Amino acid sequence: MFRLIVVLAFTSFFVNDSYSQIDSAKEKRFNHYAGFQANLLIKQIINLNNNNTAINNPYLFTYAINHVKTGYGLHVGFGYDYNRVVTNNTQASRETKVDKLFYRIGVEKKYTLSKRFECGIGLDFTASREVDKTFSISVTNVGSGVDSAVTTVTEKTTSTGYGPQLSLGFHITEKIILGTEATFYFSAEKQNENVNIIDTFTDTFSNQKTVTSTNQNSGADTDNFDLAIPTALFLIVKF
Amino acid sequence: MKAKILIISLLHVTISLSFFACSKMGDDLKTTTVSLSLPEIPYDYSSSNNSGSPVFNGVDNNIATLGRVLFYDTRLSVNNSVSCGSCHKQSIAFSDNVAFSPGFQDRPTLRNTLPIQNITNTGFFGFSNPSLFWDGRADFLPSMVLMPVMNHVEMGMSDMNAITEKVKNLEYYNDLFVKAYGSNEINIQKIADGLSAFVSSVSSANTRFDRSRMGLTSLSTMEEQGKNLFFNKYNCNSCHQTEQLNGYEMGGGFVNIGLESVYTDKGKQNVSNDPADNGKFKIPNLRNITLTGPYMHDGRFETLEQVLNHYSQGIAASQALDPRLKDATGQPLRMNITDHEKTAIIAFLGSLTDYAMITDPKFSNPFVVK
Repeated sequence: MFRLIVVLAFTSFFVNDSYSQIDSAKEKRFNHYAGFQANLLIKQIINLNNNNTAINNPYLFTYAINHVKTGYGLHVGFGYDYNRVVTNNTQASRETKVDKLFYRIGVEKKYTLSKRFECGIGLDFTASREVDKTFSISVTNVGSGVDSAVTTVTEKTTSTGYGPQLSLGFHITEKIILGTEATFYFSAEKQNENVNIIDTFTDTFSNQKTVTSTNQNSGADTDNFDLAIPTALFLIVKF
Repeated sequence: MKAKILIISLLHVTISLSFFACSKMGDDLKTTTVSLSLPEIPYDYSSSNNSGSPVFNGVDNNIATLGRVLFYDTRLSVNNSVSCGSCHKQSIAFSDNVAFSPGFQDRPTLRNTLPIQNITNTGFFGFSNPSLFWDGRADFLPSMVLMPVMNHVEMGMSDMNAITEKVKNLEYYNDLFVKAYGSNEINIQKIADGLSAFVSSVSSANTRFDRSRMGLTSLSTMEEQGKNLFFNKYNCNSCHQTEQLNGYEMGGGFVNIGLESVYTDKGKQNVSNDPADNGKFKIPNLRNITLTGPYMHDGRFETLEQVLNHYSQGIAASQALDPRLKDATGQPLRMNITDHEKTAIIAFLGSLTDYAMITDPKFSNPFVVK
């Protein structure tokens, strides 16, 4: 549903903009800003120090469309993170997969501060979904037999929130902007954890197998305020 | 043309993501059968030098043996994949060689793994409680040993009952509890006591520095130079009391050493709520220090040279900065340690390595491949 709203919002603005170009080809009505988080890129270019500052801004790609005259507009952000870790130890081996998706949509008003600087203030609505899945195996000789435990832990976290956003952009050129932002989001988080254990005991003497399966669910709801300071830098193209 | 490139790129990304999402979990895992291997006659843990430990107070060696099995048993974690020994590795003085150890779901812990050695169950001469963890949030060893087991990132067990039930269902503990306590009744108190007995028996008292103090060996010229710098010129000993086995004389200390001007991790202040404790962390025991990197509560320094560089030139002004790290004007001290001095200090710190402890079979993992 949220994705549908984002797509519709995008589409409506593009449609309006394309009609406006037909009506008045010379007069530009909207500014478009397409950006991506460039902290790692900038770190590669300017290696200032070895300190690894955590970036708690998950939006990798951003897009904004603002009315040229009034500065009012709409912006969206999207982030995705995938991580897979395989650990093979003698006692136990495990594989973890982490999928994270982040979305945001908001309204804002942009202000031109000077020839080089522009800023924006807006209100965002956010949503995220994270799935952590860990699969592990351990096989232990317990004396009278061999006990093999296969465990799957699945943790799903969904969160929705809203809050103000402040952005600041520096024009490197007329079309390329280096931007940063501060956000203060209130979010409500819902977490569900499922632990599934399949335990197989093989008797050494009779070679008989006994399989025990257990399944546990737990959940938690939390609310929190998250202040993200401007450590994230975005390279933005204005067109 | 541009549209075509965009569509192809999007398809490529979608297919790549689908591939990752659909690959079957567990295909790349290797399984090995391990068995519990314990000596007929239990190892002697009563030689522990840690005053105040349950062992020192007359607890049977069988309790420490039970603790050793619990310490290394991955089945104490919710998905049977992590034990205390997964982060506290004997070969590196029961520390970990990464800044943040991975928990049962491979999520990183919030702080660097502290080494385990010479931990006592009491503070100064038994009159106070010990300060455990980087921020001193625990002061009783049997409580402390269960906290990582129930931590949501580390071992993930939901509560104490779940731990007890898991141990009850593992056949090999029956015999271990009978030997340790004379009955096969398993409860959380006995589990905690067993773990405490083992943890507090991990003792480091056989370093070249210790032997040199007893006149059994001598330090090299470089190590002697480093020792003089450590004890005299830079007075590192005012915090790191290396002559004490547990690294301190008065129940341990917590200091702000100016790692940051504004601490993101407030350290002891998180426990005490006192702003005067901002950025204060436990002074670590320097025994086996050459093995226990990366250093500091967040593992920010990979090498001892980087640590010395911090003390030499990098101390940041901070509200709760320790007075010993300020100059006469109240500004952060610039020790200006020369490169030669750094080499000498690191050589001296190398003499604090206890090779006997890190190879002692009584502290080793009893789950072995047979």
